[in-house]
Amino acid sequence: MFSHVRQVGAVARIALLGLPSRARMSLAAIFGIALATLVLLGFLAMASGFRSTVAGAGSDQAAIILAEGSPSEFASAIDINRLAQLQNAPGIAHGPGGPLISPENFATISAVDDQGTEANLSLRGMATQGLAVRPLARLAAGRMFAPGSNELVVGASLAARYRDLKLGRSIRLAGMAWKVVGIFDAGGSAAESEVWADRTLVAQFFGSSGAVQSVRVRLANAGALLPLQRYLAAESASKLTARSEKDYFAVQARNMGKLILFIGWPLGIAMAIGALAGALNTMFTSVSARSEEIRTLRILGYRGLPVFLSTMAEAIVLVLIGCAAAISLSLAFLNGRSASTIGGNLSQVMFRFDLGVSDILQSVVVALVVAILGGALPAWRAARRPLAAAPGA
Amino acid sequence: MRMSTLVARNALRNPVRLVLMVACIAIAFLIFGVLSAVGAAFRMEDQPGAHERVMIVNRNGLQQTLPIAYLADIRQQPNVAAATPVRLAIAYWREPKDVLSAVMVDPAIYLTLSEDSAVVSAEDRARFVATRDGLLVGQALATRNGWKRGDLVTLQSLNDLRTDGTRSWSFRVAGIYRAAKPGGPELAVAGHYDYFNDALLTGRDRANWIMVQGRDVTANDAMARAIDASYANSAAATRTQSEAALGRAFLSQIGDVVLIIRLVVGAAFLVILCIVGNTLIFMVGERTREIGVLKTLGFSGGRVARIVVGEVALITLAGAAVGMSLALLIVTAVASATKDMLPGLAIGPTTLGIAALLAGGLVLLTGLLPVVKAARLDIVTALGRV
Repeated sequence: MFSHVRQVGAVARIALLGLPSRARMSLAAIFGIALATLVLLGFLAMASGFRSTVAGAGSDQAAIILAEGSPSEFASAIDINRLAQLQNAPGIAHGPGGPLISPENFATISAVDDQGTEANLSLRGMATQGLAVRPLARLAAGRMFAPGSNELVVGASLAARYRDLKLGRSIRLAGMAWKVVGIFDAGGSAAESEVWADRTLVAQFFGSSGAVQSVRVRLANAGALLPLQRYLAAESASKLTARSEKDYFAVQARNMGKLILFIGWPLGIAMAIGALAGALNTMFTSVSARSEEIRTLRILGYRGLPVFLSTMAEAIVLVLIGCAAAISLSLAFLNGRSASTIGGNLSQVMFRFDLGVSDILQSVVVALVVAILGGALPAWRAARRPLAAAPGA
Repeated sequence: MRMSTLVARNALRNPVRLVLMVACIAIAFLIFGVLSAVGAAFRMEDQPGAHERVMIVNRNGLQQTLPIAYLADIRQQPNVAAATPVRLAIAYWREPKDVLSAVMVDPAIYLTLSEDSAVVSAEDRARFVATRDGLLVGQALATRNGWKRGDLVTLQSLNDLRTDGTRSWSFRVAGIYRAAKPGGPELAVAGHYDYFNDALLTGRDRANWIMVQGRDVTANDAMARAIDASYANSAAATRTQSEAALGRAFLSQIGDVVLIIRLVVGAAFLVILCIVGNTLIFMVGERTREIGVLKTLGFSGGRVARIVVGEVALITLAGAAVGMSLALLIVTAVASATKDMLPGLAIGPTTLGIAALLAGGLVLLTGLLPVVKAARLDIVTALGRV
């Protein structure tokens, strides 16, 4: 048994020490697996980042009220005549100005970013309570908009990226100038990709009067959601449903992340298969380059198993080097990089690439599968090669 | 012995290696083919009429609407042959999760403008145009829901409220359309703009976009500039562009998908370039002796080079052919599943052309070093090696 282990160690050392002499083919395999892993990691980091950005927008201390059957705020309409009854609904926290309720609607606006590219952004019309209703948001600079005036409060992610939306600047929307009077912070979540303004103005100038899309309320306490839901269910005429902000955004995040993974995994797997073909090629070449050496070892009495394991070790070392290179590259250059994509309202959502431990583990597993598949066949061939017929004889 | 025989025999000498190299190249072409098809579908490259039809949308995005009053002004433009408003209604029939896409339009003009994508019989067409609450339904949707001509169906809108406080819209199925291309999208419905608008409480007298057919396609750009200039300072500024340009603009908002596609395809090709190129160099090294023998027999450097290039070309073309065929199979399968979300998903002539160029480039790049190495090899060194 011990001699077995020693044999494996010795043969593996010979194989690995010989790697530099086969440097070019080995580098090709490392390069292949590194790029395949990089592509996979990129998509995984994008999905994780996007998901946590959207999911992070929700708190369980606030609730969102939508029309029954509506999957999201963007496909919902609530008659403004129904809003009065919400004033007396149970479970809603009270502030100095009455219950913390904010009826809200959306529009999209067009703005120019720091690079000069024009993109569509979400404009959310809300009550002045809008800030107090949101437990996760706070003013980072400036002040809230004054009711009835053309003023905007901009999410920090947008303010950082759009030259029209910096504090104190003005932007032309719907034929008039709007001034940015405040910047709000929402912990880097998707909420920061919004611009806020007075709902009545948004309704008047962006063609959405007569209805609101959602109502955001601050819950009085942890158990307040249920009484609110019961109250809404009892008012069957209004057809409204309430759910916690946290649940709402968790569902939205799930749907969004899926799409990125739906593209990312097949691509990653296709790249991994390409890398596998490369690894197999390299290992077969390595076995044929080492044929003299393997034959000598076998004549000296080494068994097939150590030869098999030494070739496997070579494959695994090559793949792990490539994988490690990809992980360090993506940690250095990808992680935390901000990007934007189109969200539920057909407008931009900023997010950051976020490489989690589980993403890294998934990529290592894929790389190891490539190593085992890419190493096994050549290793088996090397171990089974008959002594007399080794090439070059 | 003919040269082609030498090339083929050489390539087949190590079948495992041949298969691996072909597989490697095939994967890169597969990724290229599928991703280009997706990109082309968003850019509506091969969609009939997408470059001729002009869309007028709100400058602030597709979610924003335009006042219907614009329609009358736009019809006055000299180059405008026909124009229809399009209002999107997100609605469902029985189950809220089965959302269907409904457009509310000027029926006669809309049918004329979409002749190249939807086929309607003359009888259905006349009935749909004449029925105020008429609904034109895609064949696939009609089959799925069991709707027949003359049926009364009630749709529930998600975004729009009626003046009577409900969301129920009752329509009569007046006609059924078929996709012009077999396997094309048939899950949408169309109704009359006036019928829908009259009952609206929210967003009344507004349209999501106005679709225009120009008299002279070459004058479309000038027409677009004139329209946009006339609304530049109004509450709803416009953006006028071809359907294809609108698709491109949408694609760029998804987050520079085109760039990501190019990066991934670039990465895939870099990998194969490296792997295949190195294998070929190794292969030439392995055959040093026989190249020496060939040269001793009187083969010129050029002839040896041609034999090596022939082998590289054989491997690359086989890989490209396998990869593009696989891509074709996958795209065809995915296209039938996503035809209602992303019509026009297909590998078009542009993609095939680029694939041919890529294959040529690959032969040049991977073949260069091994060919030079083989051609330059002198007999003494080659045979002197043991």
